[in-house]
Amino acid sequence: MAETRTFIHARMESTKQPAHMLQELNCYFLKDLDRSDLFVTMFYLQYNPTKHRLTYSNAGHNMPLVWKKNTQKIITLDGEGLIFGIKKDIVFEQKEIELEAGDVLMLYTDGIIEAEDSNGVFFGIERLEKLITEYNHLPPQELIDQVMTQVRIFTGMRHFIDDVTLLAMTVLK
Amino acid sequence: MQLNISEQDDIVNICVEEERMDAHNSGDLKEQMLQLFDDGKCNLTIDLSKVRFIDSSGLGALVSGFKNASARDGSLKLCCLQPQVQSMFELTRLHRVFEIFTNQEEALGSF
Repeated sequence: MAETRTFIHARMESTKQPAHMLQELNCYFLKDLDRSDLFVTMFYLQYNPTKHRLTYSNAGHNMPLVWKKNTQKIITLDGEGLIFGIKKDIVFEQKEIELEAGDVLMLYTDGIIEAEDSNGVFFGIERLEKLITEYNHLPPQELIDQVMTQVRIFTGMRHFIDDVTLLAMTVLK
Repeated sequence: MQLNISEQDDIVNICVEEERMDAHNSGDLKEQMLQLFDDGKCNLTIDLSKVRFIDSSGLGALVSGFKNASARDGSLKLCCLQPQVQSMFELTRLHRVFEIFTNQEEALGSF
């Protein structure tokens, strides 16, 4: 994690495109994780607030959700690629979408959707989508708090078994 | 982790006799595979028919086996994936890295 962040910070000025950044990270991890059982997944996004344009590429990470205000529906972001450190010469697809005021972007890790209740049922993406649909009007931090609360109620436990990361962004104007 | 290991010619079949492959038990599979590689057995099939859930540790063990087998000019192939497990491979795009077969006979026949 720290290594990945350092790599990105060091290359941010010279590597402008998400797909290129993922290609460079893959080359780095391929050497570093040789024969290891570790791998890294990543969803890399750039948002241009002037053009309202979100540019992204995916290295095998959970697909982010976007609640679109105009259609009142959720879309899923994805792109072709592969988790880092497995194969060289991976081509990462790069895509773009336009966001509008009121749209909500949410990124999450598997700790949320694979949180289990006492019967071994997963929280799942559908429940997460329902929460975003219901609470899209909340500021991002409150939306995250609401999701965390609902997952805790679902599992019946205060603590999460897996690590959890949630990131929410609301377009204001 | 409970593993059922059988050999046919120079191919070793490992059947994972667990419902979950996660951080608690995946190290055992990794160790077992490393032992096989050390013994010069580098062609493996992993039967995942019993596995209902796999997390990143489970995938990591299989990735490790895949890389080690490939580095020794062998191969590691998978068979009998349940839908939940298949979806994890599709999410990470690992289904384009591993050869995945619907049954053990097909996996064995592909060597």
